[in-house]
Amino acid sequence: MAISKFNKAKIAGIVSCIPKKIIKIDDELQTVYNNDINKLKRIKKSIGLNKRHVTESHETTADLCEAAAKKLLSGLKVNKKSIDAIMLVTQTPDYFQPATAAYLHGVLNLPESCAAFDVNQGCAGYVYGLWLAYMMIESASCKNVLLLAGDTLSKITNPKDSNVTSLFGDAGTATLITKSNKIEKSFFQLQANGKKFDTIIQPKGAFRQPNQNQIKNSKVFELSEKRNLENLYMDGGEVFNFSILTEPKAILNILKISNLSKKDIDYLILHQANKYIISNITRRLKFSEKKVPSETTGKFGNQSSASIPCTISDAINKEIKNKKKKLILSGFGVGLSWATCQLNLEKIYCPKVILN
Amino acid sequence: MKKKELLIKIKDLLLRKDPINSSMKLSEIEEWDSLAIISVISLYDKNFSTVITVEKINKCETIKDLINLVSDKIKN
Repeated sequence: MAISKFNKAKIAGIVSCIPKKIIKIDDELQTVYNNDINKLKRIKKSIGLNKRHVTESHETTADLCEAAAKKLLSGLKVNKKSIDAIMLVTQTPDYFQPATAAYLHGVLNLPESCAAFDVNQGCAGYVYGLWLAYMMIESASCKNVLLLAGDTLSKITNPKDSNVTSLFGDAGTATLITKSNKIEKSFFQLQANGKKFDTIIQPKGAFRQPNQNQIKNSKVFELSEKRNLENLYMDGGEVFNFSILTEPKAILNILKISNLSKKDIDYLILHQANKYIISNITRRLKFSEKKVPSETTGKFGNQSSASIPCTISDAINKEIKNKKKKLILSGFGVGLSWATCQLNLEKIYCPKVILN
Repeated sequence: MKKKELLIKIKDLLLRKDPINSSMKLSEIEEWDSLAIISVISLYDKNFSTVITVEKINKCETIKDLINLVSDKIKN
């Protein structure tokens, strides 16, 4: 079990960027829902979907992360020479080769002394990325790590597939993790269940021809005009089951590891899978709803790796500007994988979500 | 909870105008889809503190089968 405790790293700032283009679910009654008003109503009412921000065809993960990073670095007045590493967490990179972080390293004018690499992670990816960044500061003498987390899943969902298309939005975020002068405690736990790797999958697009020897979930191969193998497949029921069983345990675990109780925590920021999953996890945990923001998906869509920072920017950016707040962050999904951390945010540069 | 109340709750989560009864086949209910399945999981968790798997729900053929998943917690 990957449990880590750190003392030297903290977050200095977070900026989240979303595309301008908005799609409203009400406008998809004919195109996605075959004029089935009842189905549309059920999705709005129970899942909590409404509208989402999605990229234009020329707009990419790197573009959104670049805009977020520029705002972050200028807002914090960071000397670029002091950035030791740039890391991009994404499942929708601009390029397989080179790492999209390399392109961003160039366009942000970062020095040769700054390492650049991508991490292939999705819904749990922000916490996986933070874990790496905190580790680099704790044990690899880095002073500043620029963590970018962004995804454009709207580009791989089939616009006719009502299982996924109305759910996903696009976003790019930038977080600066920096060395702290005083002791700054944080706690991480990361987990995975690779036997369920085909619960959420884009079967085709990389270098393996999709086949049923590897992908045992036969539903992945039930194709129609609504989905081909290059589109994203998600078993919504399985994901729901996984989330409401796994997440409450993960959050109780991190409370135990950090020696805190529910009442000590100011905010629980969950990956914004959708409002329904969040409310079910919150109820199972008996957490106060006020401490668990859940509006992100209805406003922006499920933003995969970007949803946790985007929720911080949207829902609690003013709260973390001065006073110290105790947070739990938790991501869960594709992999299947899940990751949870307890850390404190204090004097954070965090403007409202910006438009690209 | 009484069986009658549960039937109303299932009808409500389907946003269905017409009533439902135990003998109805799920495949013949227009609103029965993946969203309905997770709604039932949530309904059962909320009211009976039990998480039923998607697999178990997929094996149900009728409304009666669905109710039988929580039969020990239901009054007739």
